[in-house]
Amino acid sequence: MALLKISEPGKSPMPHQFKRAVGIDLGTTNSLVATVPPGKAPHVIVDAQGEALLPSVVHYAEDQVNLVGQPALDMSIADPHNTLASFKRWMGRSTDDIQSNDSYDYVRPDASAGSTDASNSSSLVAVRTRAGVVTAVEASAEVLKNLAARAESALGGQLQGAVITVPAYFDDAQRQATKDAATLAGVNVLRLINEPTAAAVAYGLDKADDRYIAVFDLGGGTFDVSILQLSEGVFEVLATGGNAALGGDDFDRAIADWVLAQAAVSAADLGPSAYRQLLQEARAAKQALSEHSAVGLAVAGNGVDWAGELSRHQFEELIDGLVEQTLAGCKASLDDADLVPSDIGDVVMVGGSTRVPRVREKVALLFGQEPKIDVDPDQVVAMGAAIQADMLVGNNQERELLLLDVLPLSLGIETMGGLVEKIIHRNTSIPCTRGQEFTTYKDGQTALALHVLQGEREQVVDCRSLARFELRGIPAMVAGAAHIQVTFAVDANGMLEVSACETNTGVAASIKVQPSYGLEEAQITAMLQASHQFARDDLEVRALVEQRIEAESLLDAVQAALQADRHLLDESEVQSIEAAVTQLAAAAKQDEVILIKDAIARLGHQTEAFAARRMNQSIKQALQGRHIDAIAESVQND
Amino acid sequence: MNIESNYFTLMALPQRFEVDLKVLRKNSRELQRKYHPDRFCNATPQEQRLAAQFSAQINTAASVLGNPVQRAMHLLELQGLVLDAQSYTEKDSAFLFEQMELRESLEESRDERDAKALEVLLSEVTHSFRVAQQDFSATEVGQGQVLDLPLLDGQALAALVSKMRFFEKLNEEVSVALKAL
Repeated sequence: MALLKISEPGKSPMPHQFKRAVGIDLGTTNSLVATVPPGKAPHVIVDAQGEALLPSVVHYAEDQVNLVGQPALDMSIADPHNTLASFKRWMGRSTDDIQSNDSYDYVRPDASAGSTDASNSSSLVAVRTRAGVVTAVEASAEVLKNLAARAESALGGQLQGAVITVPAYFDDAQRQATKDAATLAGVNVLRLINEPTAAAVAYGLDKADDRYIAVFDLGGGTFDVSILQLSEGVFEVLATGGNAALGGDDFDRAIADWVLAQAAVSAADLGPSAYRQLLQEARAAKQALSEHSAVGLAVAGNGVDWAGELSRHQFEELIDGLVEQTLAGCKASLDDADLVPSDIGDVVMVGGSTRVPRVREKVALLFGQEPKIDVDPDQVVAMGAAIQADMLVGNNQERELLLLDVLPLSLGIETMGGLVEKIIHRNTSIPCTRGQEFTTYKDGQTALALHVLQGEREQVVDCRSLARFELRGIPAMVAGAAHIQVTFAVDANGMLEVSACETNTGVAASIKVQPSYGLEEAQITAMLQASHQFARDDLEVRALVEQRIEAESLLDAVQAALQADRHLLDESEVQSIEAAVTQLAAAAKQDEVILIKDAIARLGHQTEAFAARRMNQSIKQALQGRHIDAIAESVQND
Repeated sequence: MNIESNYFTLMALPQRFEVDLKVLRKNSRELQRKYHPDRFCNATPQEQRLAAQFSAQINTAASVLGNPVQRAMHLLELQGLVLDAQSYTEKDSAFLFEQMELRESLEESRDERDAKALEVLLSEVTHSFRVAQQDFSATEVGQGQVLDLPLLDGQALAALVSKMRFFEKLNEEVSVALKAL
């Protein structure tokens, strides 16, 4: 009789059973898919035309057949309303968040009275096309479907799963939107990983000795820098930073503006069509200047006729201010990570704009070493994702790769007075859980509303609303007696889950989640910058709000005490307490922290004796109501 | 699966204030390598959930033991002493006076944008923070002895932790002020 063969759990019974897994770089401008063939190096899967890059553009055509990629991009000038591009910046965002200076027909939440639009997609960015209302999640799903189909035809069968990359600073809503898009596209998400981490993996840095790695990602329209730590094969993101409105397109504009200045005309003189052509020429010039020391440029149209030459040296002077901004971003992230440039073991370059020699030169100067440029900077992220996917499905048992991430932005909750109390700080290792105890504010309160926010600033208005939670079914108790333990859990993909329980009674409060929307990238960067700049103003506002709250609750408490136990005071005592109450109520209306503080102190002083008498009275009452054995027990425990 | 609530046991470290941060980091990595949710991609949702919980607990343990103030509080917690930071009031008037003086000198140097004075202050505060840690470490709890609750001087231990917390916070504030210059 043949013996049954039992394989170790998680290990493949047949060594050659290859699982089809891919890595997908879902980019703002272009997207890519890559895979790792058995026993080979990772490579990007090209389409039928041999193209690796799929433009992240979707065109909703008249015949109901959506175009994705280059054919869609070709339609963007002829039919802009029905051609969606750069929709990654809408992921997990509301219409109010985005600055719409483009020609899309955005759906405004209150504009549509129909229940179909308003109920669900009310605030997510949505655009009216001839195919109906479309969100970024749906457009992203079209791109993912296209890439998955490309991979399935190349690999000869259905995909087991995909690792999709996201910017390291993507918040909860943006990661959720990315996962939703995959679900819509029918792609099984093995894991969302951070773009910089994927780039480092593509360079095989996970097999290197312990070190710090800087990933410098300069794309067409965005700049990101991340500081990673590699420790015994484990990656951690220590800090991220950047500028969501800085990229190679700005280099093109700098050249175009220079040409306009030389020709002594304005963009308006030139007209939009000729200006667009000038920008294209500027881009070609930029690329040529990577190889040549000078390049000819010309501009013509609308009575303008100019031709001249731009040297590499001149070009570098034009962009040095922009490059300097990226270096400042690097320094800020190094600071966040508590490192200096010489601590960095490797610098990885990502994004097409890192092909500009001046960028490489300046980055090399800052870090005191040559940056890594061997892997195609457009493909490096997708390749890293493919390596991780290959490992997660169990194709590669040898490579001991584990990616540990941190929370990109602090999670907090709204407290009294519109302030934010941070529950989980930025850069905390994930997955993680934090418990926080809350109590009731009023007698007999049975519900509690929690507002979860993400961001670094002190005030609610300056942070991004993630979700609102309503806890119901809290047992009715005296104000402050209920102990509501709320647990915030962030998973390995950086997504949040909340649960709650009243600890005295063990009653689990039911939670109603009302998800808000995410943050725009530019806002995150701006918020972070502002939190550094305005830290002191913030603190002053915070102090005033806190004093007012303290004043209010003290006034409430004193009024209640007077109502309950006025008999413990004589007439002159009542009068002096009431005078102090009036004074504090007046002070609380003014913007002087010191005034409120003093009035609080005075009322506190005036009510000291009253409080002591009340306390003695309540202790007596409490002791009277207690059982003998309970007292005996408490004595034993003391 | 039972999640260990003693972080020292979880991290396979001796229960005392002195901690080898390198070993802590290494052991935490070792545990993550085994229990991180990524290791359970092919497992059941229940297993995945447990892995996520356990992985989170490992991260918490690593961060608590990695921070001197939180580590001290965890040691006290293991002895049954839970400190309430908000309600603790400092009774040592000499230390209160020292606190005031240090704060004043921080504000002064910050307003005058005096980098040299801030650097001197920083090294002073860093030193005091280290001394406060050594003081806590020298206590029975800091040495990892398990005592009965009545034998513990809760007030004295709380005062030591409060001291550490003060110097930790001030250290951060001085660093921030220095960076802002």
